[in-house]
Amino acid sequence: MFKVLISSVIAVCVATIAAAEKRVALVVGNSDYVSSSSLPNPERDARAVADKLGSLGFDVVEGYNLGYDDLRDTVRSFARETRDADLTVFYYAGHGIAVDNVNYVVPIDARMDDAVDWEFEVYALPEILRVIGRSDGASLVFLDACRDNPMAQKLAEVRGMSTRSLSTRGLTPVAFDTLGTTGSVIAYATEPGQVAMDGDGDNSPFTTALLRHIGAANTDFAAITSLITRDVLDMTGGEQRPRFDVSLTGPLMLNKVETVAAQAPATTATAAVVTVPASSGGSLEVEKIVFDTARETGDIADYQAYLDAYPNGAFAVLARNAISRLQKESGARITGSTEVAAANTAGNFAAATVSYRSADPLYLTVTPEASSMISSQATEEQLGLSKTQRKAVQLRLNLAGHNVGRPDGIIGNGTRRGIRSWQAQSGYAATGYLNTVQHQTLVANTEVAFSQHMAANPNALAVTTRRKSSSGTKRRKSGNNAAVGAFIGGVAAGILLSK
Amino acid sequence: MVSRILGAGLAAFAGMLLPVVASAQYAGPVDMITALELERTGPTVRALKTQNALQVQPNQQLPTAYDFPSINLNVAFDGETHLLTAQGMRTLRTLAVALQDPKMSGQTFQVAGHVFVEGSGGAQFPLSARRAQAVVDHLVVFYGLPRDKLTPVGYGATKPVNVSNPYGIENTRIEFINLSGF
Repeated sequence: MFKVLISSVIAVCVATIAAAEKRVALVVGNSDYVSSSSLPNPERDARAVADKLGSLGFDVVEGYNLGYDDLRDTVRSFARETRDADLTVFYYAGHGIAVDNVNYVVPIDARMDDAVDWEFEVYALPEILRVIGRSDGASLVFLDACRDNPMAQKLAEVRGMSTRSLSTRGLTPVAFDTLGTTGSVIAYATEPGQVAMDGDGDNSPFTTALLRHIGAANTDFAAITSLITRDVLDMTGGEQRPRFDVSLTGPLMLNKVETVAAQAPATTATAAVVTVPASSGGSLEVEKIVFDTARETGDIADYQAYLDAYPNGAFAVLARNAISRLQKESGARITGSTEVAAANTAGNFAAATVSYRSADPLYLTVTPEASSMISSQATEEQLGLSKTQRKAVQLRLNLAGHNVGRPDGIIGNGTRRGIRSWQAQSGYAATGYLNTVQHQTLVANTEVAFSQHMAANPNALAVTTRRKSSSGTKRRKSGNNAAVGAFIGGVAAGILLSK
Repeated sequence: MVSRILGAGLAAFAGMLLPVVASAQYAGPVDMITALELERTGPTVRALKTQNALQVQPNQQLPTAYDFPSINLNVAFDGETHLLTAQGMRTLRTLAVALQDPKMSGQTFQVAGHVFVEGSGGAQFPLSARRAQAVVDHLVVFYGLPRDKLTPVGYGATKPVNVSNPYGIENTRIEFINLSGF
């Protein structure tokens, strides 16, 4: 009976999302470059694309001829829009460069004449993709960049750049896992490493073809990509071939003409909602509000706040999944520049030019060698964890979605369970005891969430007990309604703090 | 929490006898490769080798008077433990990139732990050994570096780089020493 209840509530949520699809787009066109000849088409291209996307039901954030500061502000305002978006589009036209396999969008005020300064003048594409990847929805990225590229030429001639792998001919492919899990398309106006043409007409060949086909009614986006490819090849006499890196998990239609209920489960879900028993409806309602709040903000801390209040709640599994996904994403965001960390574990020494950035977060991939190392009571004792360090372990387990309760520095049954669950999920034997490399994995892979949490709650690991924890648990025991009130209060406070 | 976070920066040494501290806060794999390459060193040790005068055991403390290509890294640990911090692991990520370079392939390194903590007395030696072991485990397990090419050795507080300030943070470090030429 209870199972039925849980599944029906989840299904209702799915239905709600599908009903009100939110589409957002960021469109940037840079034409008037300060320190190199201006490009006639990007601004025109971008304006046309913005109009088109607007007619397809997108909330469009537009930016034309953006300097670095303007670009940053535009991306920032877009970041707000993407959080709960079901479909996100990023379109960029203008100069782009690739250095050490990282793509950069070039603002109009970039001078590109210094081996150190250039990096502060351009905007890393992974940064923008990171924002897009924050939502659960699908995303489409269109890069009509690297038209004949004086920027990269200029940079290549700068002293001190000789050790960097600098592509003077266009962008390099973007790592897929930079984007969200729901599927994505990254479209390049041309094959990576090739220069795209600006075109003789009003728009570049790529954008012309894009505008022509993107609004095709009831057409799956995969089919649209082949139409675009065909037209661009036609227009350029076969010299320019767009590239689409597609990882969609299902059909994606930008212009659905008839109104179809979005997904099959939706209809059954509305029926199922009737079966929710009226008696328990109240507290579930509250629980759902708390969970929905977390989902709207998309913040790990908010999901954690939900889990703190409802460790065994109806959405606990979803919340844990969301946390682990958010953490993976924040770890995956680094892949653009630090693939070496995971990719070379097979003893592949072939990577000639590897890029690195010491401040990038680290995500450790658990290798067979790592999981073959014994973990037992003895290995954990060897770690010599202090009380604060034990609390840190508990907090990290919580942040990884394996709720062990409020960190108290006492490793009891709950914490052991949490360790086992984390071990199983990470690919380690679920012994319930940590060893050195497991501790390293836990630290590295929760670091982003951990430092965020510590920044928001500087006293999280302090030795004195906090007011909230004691009063919260006390009130929980005193009757149903009072408990609900206490939880809402507690969770709301948590959300405020984390913002 | 993290009671001490050392900078990810490092001091690169041209040799044990004539330390030249790089002023840069941050070194990349290229700098590390340069520091660890055999070609970089002077003739001192080469000559000794041909005379067979120097016997080096990778798993024992090395004599101080010879010029091994080496690099000192401020790898950050959580307090007085061998628990790597995220920052320490990021430093090792950069080093792993260097060790995976073709120029370094097949070469043997001693991973030396140095710990200088005031008042900890006898604890410094075992701690330095555990830290060296943790670093080797990390590099082997997560970056696929061959275990038989990385030998952890604890030095305790025996080899400061800055003799005038024994408890300066620059002395507590992980040193990678290229033993391939010997």
